[in-house]
Amino acid sequence: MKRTKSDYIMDTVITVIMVALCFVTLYPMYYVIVASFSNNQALLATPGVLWYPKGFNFGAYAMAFKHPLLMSGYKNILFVLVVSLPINILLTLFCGYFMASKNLMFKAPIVGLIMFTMFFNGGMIPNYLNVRSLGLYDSLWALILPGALSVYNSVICKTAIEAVPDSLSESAYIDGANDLIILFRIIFPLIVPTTMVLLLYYGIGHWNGWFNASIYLQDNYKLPIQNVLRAVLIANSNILNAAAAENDKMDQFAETIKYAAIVISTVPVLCIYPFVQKYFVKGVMIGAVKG
Amino acid sequence: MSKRILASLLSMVMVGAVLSGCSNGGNAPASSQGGSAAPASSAAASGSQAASDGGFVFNGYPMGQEDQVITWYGGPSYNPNAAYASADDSPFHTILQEMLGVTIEWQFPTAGTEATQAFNLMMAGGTLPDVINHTLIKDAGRYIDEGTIYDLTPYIQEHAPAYYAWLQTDTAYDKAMKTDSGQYYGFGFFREDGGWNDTYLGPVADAAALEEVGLKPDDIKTVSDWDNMLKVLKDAKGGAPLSFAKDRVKTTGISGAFGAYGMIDFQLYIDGNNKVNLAHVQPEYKNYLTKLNDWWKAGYIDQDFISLDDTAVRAKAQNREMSVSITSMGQISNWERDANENNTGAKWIALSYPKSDDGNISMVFGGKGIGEVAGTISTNCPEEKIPLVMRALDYAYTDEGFLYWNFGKEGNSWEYDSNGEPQYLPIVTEDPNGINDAIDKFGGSTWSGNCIQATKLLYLKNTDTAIACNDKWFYENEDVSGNWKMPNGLTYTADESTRNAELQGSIKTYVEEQAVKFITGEESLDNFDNFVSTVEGMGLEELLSINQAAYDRYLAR
Amino acid sequence: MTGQAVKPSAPGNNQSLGYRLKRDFYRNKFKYLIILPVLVYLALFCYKPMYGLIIAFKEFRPNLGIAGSPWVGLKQFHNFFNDPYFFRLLRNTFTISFLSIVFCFPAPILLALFINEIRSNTFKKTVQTITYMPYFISMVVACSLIRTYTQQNGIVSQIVMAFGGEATNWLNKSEYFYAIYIISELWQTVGWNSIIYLAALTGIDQEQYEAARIDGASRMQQLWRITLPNLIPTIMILLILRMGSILNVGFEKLILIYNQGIYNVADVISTYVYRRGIIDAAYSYGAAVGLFNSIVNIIFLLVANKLSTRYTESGLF
Repeated sequence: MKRTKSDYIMDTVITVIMVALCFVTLYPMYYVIVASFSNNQALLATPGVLWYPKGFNFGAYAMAFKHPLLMSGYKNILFVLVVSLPINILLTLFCGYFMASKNLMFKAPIVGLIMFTMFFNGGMIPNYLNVRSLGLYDSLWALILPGALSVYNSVICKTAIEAVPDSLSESAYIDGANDLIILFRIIFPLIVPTTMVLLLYYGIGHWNGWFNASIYLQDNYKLPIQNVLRAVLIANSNILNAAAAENDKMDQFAETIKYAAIVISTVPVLCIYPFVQKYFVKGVMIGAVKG
Repeated sequence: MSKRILASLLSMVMVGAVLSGCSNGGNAPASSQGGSAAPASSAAASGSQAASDGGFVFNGYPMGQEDQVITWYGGPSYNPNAAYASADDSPFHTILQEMLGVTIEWQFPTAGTEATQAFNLMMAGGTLPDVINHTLIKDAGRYIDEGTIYDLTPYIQEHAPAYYAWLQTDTAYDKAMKTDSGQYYGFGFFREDGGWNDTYLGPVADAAALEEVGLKPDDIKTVSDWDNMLKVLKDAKGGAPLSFAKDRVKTTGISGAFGAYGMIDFQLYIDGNNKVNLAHVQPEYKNYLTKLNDWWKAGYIDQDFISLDDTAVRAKAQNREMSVSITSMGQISNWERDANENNTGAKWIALSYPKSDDGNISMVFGGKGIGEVAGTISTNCPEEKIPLVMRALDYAYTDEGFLYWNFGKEGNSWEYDSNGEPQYLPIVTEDPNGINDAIDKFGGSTWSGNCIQATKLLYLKNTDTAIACNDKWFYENEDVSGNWKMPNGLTYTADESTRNAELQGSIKTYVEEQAVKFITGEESLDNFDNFVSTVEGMGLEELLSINQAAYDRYLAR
Repeated sequence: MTGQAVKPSAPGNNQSLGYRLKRDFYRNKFKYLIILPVLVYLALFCYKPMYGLIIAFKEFRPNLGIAGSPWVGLKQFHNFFNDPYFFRLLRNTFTISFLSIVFCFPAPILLALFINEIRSNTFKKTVQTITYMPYFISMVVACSLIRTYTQQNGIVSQIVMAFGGEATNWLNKSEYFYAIYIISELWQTVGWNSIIYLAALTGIDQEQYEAARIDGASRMQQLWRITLPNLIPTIMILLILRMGSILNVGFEKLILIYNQGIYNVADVISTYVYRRGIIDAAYSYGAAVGLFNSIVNIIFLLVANKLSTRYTESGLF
């Protein structure tokens, strides 16, 4: 195929725009990395654009790994993820399967009950009182159970299940299979991409969330990593005595340790991403486009 | 159609069964949230334990009651040093248990969580800890009436003799720790110096920078001097010469020079005629804002100030990005140490609180040496346990406990020197993060607590320059440093407390936000009159009369 | 979906209700079994706290509990409607939401179209991977970066000064807040959200393009005549879905980046609920405002759903 002059112009324009976009997207992250390897004083003295670390050193990382809460924060969020995700997926599959099934006398009212919760919730204080009354306060379960199911995700799951040809489950019925067998043996393998997407949605939700932990937990050792980051990055860890006369802690890594903490907390997630990516493209199509 | 209705009815019944099944489980604890009705089961259990010990008899410290657990909410006053993840690792908190001979389950707001949020959520539901330390003095009467905390009057003389004796040393102390009806409600925070360190904030300047532009710090006395100083600095150095952390100025800043009584924070004050007023609706306050706004427009004030904290300002001080600030004595110690370590050449010293051009000053930041927090005993603590808890709190006011709360355990973090004065050991003085940071690893009184703060502690903690700052701010203005303040110890009736919270909630939100906007020019000062009438429309008069009544009762005690 | 529930599949249309109930349960016992844990979850964590919503009509006093607190009728709502911030909160909530839709919705489409036009496969992959990346940066971290970069001596100021502008704290100025909010939102989500469109683009029948090329259509013409029309259904559905959550502006983001100086543009209903309800301990007031938020949201969702069913024949419910 011959390429016209206008094709070349277009290609150049696209390339330039895309390179610029990539640069703009990457630089804020690159800055974090550079800053994390810098010397604190030098960093404070040179505000603005950085291309390479100022006074290269690993001091901030050494400090960050010594931070009393960073590692426990990691451990906690891992626990939450490992316990939550199976529960999330199981409940979502159940809910999606039920909503996708036909010929049920009570389907409409039950689905109504489920959907209703999408729009109405008790609000902060009633939810907090509920968590306390269920005995979940100051326990990691308070981060797991109250968000165990997202109805929105169930709807995505439902659409994916509806896309599976009825004939498959019908023939299984005839062979004597029950709904559980059909769901796990026949339908589940066909909606793996959607499941991966749901896993990702739930996982990112747990990973990003910090507000619930800030009201449901009381022990610093139970805080998930985002709350620790929030204390270090946003509240400068001393917000507790913000009104204090004598609130004066700043060590020699105050600024760079922030960046090191960011790197430490973000890199693992970025590493997981490529594994999920290939499923994602497939799954998101089935799930959301037909939504 | 009717079939569908029937079907949905049936399913309602089905779900209803599920709902009622769990609400049975859920309702029981919910009803006991009304703490007054009955102590929660856990507390009752530990209470019966106390009884089976055959009652508690005090025989000096340590009390030997390690099997007894006191749950203790410390609030933000003496939270563990940032080096420790929890109180279980913190020397002050663990050794205190040894000294007392009881087991304490500490509770603090989690890292990064606002103390008010933690407190409000704690109060909103669930089992309260035995000891609650918070700024609840004004509402103490209501909390006693509602049965949330104990009236300590029947116990105080017998079970907290040291504290009681301390309160008798000054009628102001005694008055502050009682409600209008004369009930003792808690264990307060007092400064040994009686108010000197309540003026811990004030204006400072980099003397070296002033010298460069030919100014002498001692000549900067009036608002006009400030005008001139900021202008000269700005012209000579560029950048914003005046920077500060919002927390350091939000209460008063330098409003006294204008005859005003506040800056950003909602603030009630007492005028010369014993009348309660709101700082934000006075014409003098408008003058103050107008000046700040002028400075803002001229680029004299750091535009980051709304989001600056001490750490950020300290960095600016170290980089010499600013020359004038308003900060605390403790910060000056830090800045001075930073400047010496890095040879920046900065020389931070105190400026006088500025006065009006004709030499008047209405107030400076200060107080009477009585803190706003109090350690109270919640009604979740069974009555049998009160004596033990009282003794645990009373410790801080005994001679030994006074030393412990301020300096830590003798031989561990400090020793007497040849003059018989406490001196820190190398574990504190040679801490890698500096003495400032190390002090509150071992003591609990650095800025607030249920204790008496030793003046010696402040002298050990701060540099001589910093002490001189506090001296200058306080002694130059001693007569106007505390009288304008609503006294700590004033209490509302139950009805007043509720109504006050409601009115103050909305007015506070409004005035604090408007104050910032007036300063930054987001809102034109031409609208100040509208602002005042809006505040009046929000119930200002009622708010003031509630507080006036409470103040009058306080005076009449 | 509705109507299927009781449509009998067997000729037993006139059989007794009891019989049909029995048969329904017998046939579908596993389905009901499966949904049971879901219902238990909803009952415990959704419906039970909903009971707590009644504090919006009460004066909640912690010591009296939810049930024991005195009723005050619509007082909290009345106070809210007379709140000096009522209109501002509504305005800000809608503005942020509206701007998000106007800017953040079309951007991924544009990006997908660009990426689709890239010839080199390696370059295509690289661009994709790089633009997705910020999505994996957590909210807290992203917000702390926003705060750092917009300081008076932060990167943004330095760049602006390089072009002759003046340094300032960008996040403290109302006029820049929406720009900061939207740009950071774009940075985080544009690559991620483009995935779905890219997937739709790969689904387009390649023969259409070949036919067009034979007819001599330029790439621009192909874009307008083939690519875009093929994307329209996907775009419509996503747009309608997005409309449904119009009041769900990013509470957790706003609360991390806003400050007193920019409340007039950045304070939205949910952040106000938090400040009044929890920080000021006006529990009932906060609950009432939150309830108001829910109701407005439902209205929008129902309207969006109606539109969705009308135009795409696939509603949410």
